[in-house]
Formats: sequence, C-alpha cells, structure tokens
Amino acid sequence: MSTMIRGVAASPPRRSAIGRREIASGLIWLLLLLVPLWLPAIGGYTDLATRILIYGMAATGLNLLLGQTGGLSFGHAAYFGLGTYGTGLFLIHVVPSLPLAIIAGTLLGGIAAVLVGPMVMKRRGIYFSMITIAFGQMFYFVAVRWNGLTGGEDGLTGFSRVPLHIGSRSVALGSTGYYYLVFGLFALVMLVVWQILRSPLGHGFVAARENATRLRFLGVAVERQIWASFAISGFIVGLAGSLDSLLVNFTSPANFQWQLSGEFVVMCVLGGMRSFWGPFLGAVIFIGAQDYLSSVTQNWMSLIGLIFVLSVLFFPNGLLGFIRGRARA
Amino acid sequence: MSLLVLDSVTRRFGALQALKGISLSVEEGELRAIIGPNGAGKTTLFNLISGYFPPSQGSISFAGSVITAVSPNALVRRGIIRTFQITQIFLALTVYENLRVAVECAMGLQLRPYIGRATRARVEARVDELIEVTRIGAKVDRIAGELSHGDQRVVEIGIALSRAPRLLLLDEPTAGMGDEETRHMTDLIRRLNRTNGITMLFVEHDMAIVFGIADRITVLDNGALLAEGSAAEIAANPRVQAAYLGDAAGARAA
Ligand SMILES: Nc1ncnc2c1ncn2[C@@H]1O[C@H](COP(=O)(O)OP(=O)(O)OP(=O)(O)O)[C@@H](O)[C@H]1O
Ligand SMILES: [Mg+2]
Repeated sequence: MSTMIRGVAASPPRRSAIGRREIASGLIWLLLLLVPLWLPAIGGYTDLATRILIYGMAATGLNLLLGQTGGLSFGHAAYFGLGTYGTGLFLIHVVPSLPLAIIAGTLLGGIAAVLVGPMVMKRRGIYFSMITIAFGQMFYFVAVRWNGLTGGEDGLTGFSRVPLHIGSRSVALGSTGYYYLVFGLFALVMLVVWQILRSPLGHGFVAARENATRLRFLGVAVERQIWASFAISGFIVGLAGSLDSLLVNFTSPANFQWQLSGEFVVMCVLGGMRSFWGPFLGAVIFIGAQDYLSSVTQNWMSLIGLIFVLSVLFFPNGLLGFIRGRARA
Repeated sequence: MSLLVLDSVTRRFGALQALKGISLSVEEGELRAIIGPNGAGKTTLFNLISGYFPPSQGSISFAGSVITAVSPNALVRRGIIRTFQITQIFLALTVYENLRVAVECAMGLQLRPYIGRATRARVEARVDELIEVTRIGAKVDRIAGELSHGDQRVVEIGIALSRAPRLLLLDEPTAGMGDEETRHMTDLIRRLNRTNGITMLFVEHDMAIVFGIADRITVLDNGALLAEGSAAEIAANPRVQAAYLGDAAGARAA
C-alpha cells in the first residue's frame, strides 16, 4: 500500500513516483541527521537548523488541520505560545526537569486545543478562520495582562535548558545536543503524522476536506473529525512551542500572536499543503530566508511577503506540488 | 409489511407547498421509479425520507418504526442511503480511496489512528466487493475528479453501497449521461435490485428506463400524487398522459 499522498499524486506512474518519493525522504532524513557536520560549511549554524525543525514541526502539525482536513486556522500560535509558557513556567515553578517541562508545555497547548475545538468545529471557511484568530488573541491578552505570572509584555525569563538526567548521568545540552533532542522529537512527530495520514482517521480528515456533505451522509459526525484534527495539531504545535522556549530560554506574548499563526500558514502554503514534507519544506524556506534576509535588509518582512505572493502565483500547490507536477510531466 | 410508508406527508417552504399530503408505500425488494415534471417535489420527497428536513405534516415510517424526527445520521445507520441530484464524491481522491474511506466509515473506524492487519484486510476485502459490484475495476487508481460524469455516478453508488443499504434513494442517476453510460447505470441499478436485493427508489426523467426496469412507478405533479402503478397501468393512465407524458415527455424528447 502507499501513503496518503496517493490521492493527489499522479495515478498512472504511481509505482515509480513512490520509489522516487522514498528516496527523497531518505535523503531528507540523512541530511537532517548530519546537520552539525555540513551546515557550518555553508555558513549556517546549528541553532538555525534546530529552529527550522521546530517550525517545521509546528507547520506539519498545523497542516494536519489546514491542508489535510481543510480547516484554515489563523490561530495556531495560541497553542505554540501555550507550549512555550507551559514549559517555562513549569521549569520555574514546578521542577527543573527537561522531559517533564516539555510534556507540560505540550499538554498545555494540546489540552487548550481540545477545549477550544468544540467551539470552532461547527464553523466553516472564513468563520472558522475568524474564530480561531479570536481564540488566539484571547490567549495573547491573557499573557500580556497576567503580569505577575507571565512577565507581561516583557516576556518570560528565568528558566533555561536544564541538563538531561539519563540514569545517574547528567547531560548538559549544548547546541548540538539540543539539536539531536529536537531531531528525535521531530522524527517522532513525523512518524505519528505519517501513521495518522494512512489510517482511517486521516482518511476521514481528507474526506471532510473534500466533501463534508458526502461524509455526513455516510453517517459520520464530521465535526468530531475536525475536532480530532484540531486537537492533534494543537498537541504537535504545543510541543513545537515548548521546544522553541528551550532553544532561546525565553518566551513572550509575540508567540501567541496572529502574525505567528499567519507565518505557520505561509509555511504550509509555500511548501505545499497537500504533501507530507511540504510544510517542513516551507519552514526551511521561510526560516532560512528570514535568517538570511534579516541580515542583509531591514525590510526582510516585505521580501518574504514578495516570495509568498510569487510562490502562490507560480506554485499554487506549493513547491512540492510543483516539483511533483514536473516529475509527472 | 411495507419497508417504507409515507402517510399524508406535506412539506411547505413558506407559502409554497412542495409536497401535498403524499401517501405511499414501498415493499421490501421493490424497484420504484419516481417521475414527474421539474419542480414536482421529487427531490423534496428524498430529502424528507433521508431526514434532510422533516415533513411539515404527516409521518414517515421505515421497517415498522416512525422515522419522522430521526436525524440523517441515524437514518444512515438504519440503512437509508441516498445519492444526490448533483454528484457527491471525493473529487481529489482516487476511486479506490473514495471507496476505502466510505468502507472505513461504514465500519465505524473513522476515528481510529491505527488499524491492525486483520481489520485492514476486512476493509480491503469490502472495497474489492464494491469494485466488483460496480464494475469500476479498470479505473480504481484514477482521480475521481478526472472521470467521466457517468463513472463519477458509479463511484457515488459504490460509496452508498458501503453502508449496505436497506433502502437506496437515487436522485436522477442517469441525468446528463450518454447512451453507453446510461445503459451501464441502468444495468447496475437492475443488478443491485435483482441480485443484491436492495430496495430502491429512483428519480428518472427517461421514460424508456423507467418503463424498462421499474417494478412500480409513482407520478408526482406539482407536489401532489398523480398516479401510482405498474408500468402498464401508468402508461395507460389518462391523467398521466395528459399531465406528464403528453407534454412534458414530448417537450423533453424534442
Ligand atoms: N430547500 C428549499 N427551500 C425552498 N424551496 C424549495 C426547497 N427545496 C425545494 N423547494 C421548492 O420545492 C419545489 C419542488 O422542488 P424539488 O426540488 O423537490 O423538485 P424536483 O421534482 O426534484 O424537480 P427537478 O426535476 O427539477 O429536480 C420547487 O418549487 C422548489 O423550488
Ligand atoms: Mg430534483
């Protein structure tokens, strides 16, 4: 059997296309595994790669809802932000344990998505987007106003990436060490997403996107499908947020804001919402361009906007959709 | 006992009476055609039976119990499955994926992030059955949106069959099809009824098909039940001839 992407892939040359796809995936994994070896050679640095993995994870999580289920959320920064604060506050106030803090951040983001889900799942199209933004902004205001706990506008400091305890050994995580921790979790998330997409749950997501009426008249509670998608994406984005806070040992209300939500959406669209690797590729382009452009010009945001507009014009199915179309022709 | 019974069913849309006191019953195993001019209320009748909206008055019962206020979801689970006048399938998916998701949902697996080998095998076996019945085998790997209209209709029926319907409602299954496609669809309908024993209601404008395959025919006109009977009875009914076959069928043929 094949992956879920089969639905949007070419039909006749299926077998050979899958062979090529598996080789491409293998290459990506190999490149990611060896990042600390080759990235400095081309002028990059390990923390940049870590950031790309984190945002790639967030975009992949969001895309479960956005590209696969067809729910245009403009508020997923909320769960990212909760992930960052959950982890930071846990380290400050509960116990200085890295694994527990990551779990705490992930749970905070995910459970919030579970709770928000029922309030958004009945909406369609633009109403869905609006209400997801509204919830995102709500969390933003809480973070700004609840000064005593969150540090308000100034953000939350006073926590850091404490060493990992493996057995009786204590391992401090430098840039490279942390990269591999994030890489491991990234791989886990990709595995989970891949499994979901080839399961009945994932098939149901895609069916809800394609034709909710048809699905409903098959006796399926489409809302529950959307809720599940919303919740799972919330957990993944929450985990990404948690990891981000540990990368920079800091978080601020900006991590809740709709700008960040929009950036996640841009990543998915840039790379290709209908492809497994698309959102990750979008994150590579987005974070890469952001890092490079912001070092050469103040106006990097407008350049990214330009890249986005051009790519939507010329690659409406994202970069991966484009590549796959060329491979087919 | 009749499988489906409508008792004085009326449906109003504001001032408009789309259906006026319709009573009819359909026997188990029957192949029933619903005919009538545009706007006669045929689709409305399907919408009522499938629970899309409730009747304004009157009651509907299915397999001995009243279903007037039952939700579409629950009716699907009881075995009332419909297709739509406008084809409803998953256009971006392949034919195989269309049928697979339908089967998975029919088996209640739609929230399962993982299924074991045995369950997967059951899903695949069921999909293969549907491919077999609908004879769509040559096209399983095609994207549904790229198929001809006729083939999309066949896929839609395949999807409907995934729920093992007790009553299948087909709204204009052959509309817009060429001769070859129409024949294929007509064969399929007849086969599902005769071989698989599925009770069916179908809306159809093509009189050759209606008279060719239907066990009984119900004629609606302007929301009212004009006539009901076998093909021979309907063909000989002077009211039907005057109101429908005369001008409507003539106009359509022209
Ligand atoms: N949801 C609705 N709201 C308002 N009016 C409706 C609705 N559905 C149907 N009608 C009206 O009820 C009447 C019967 O419509 P219906 O769709 O049942 O006809 P039909 O017999 O299926 O016609 P056709 O052969 O064109 O498909 C029409 O006048 C139609 O405009
Ligand atoms: Mg109609």
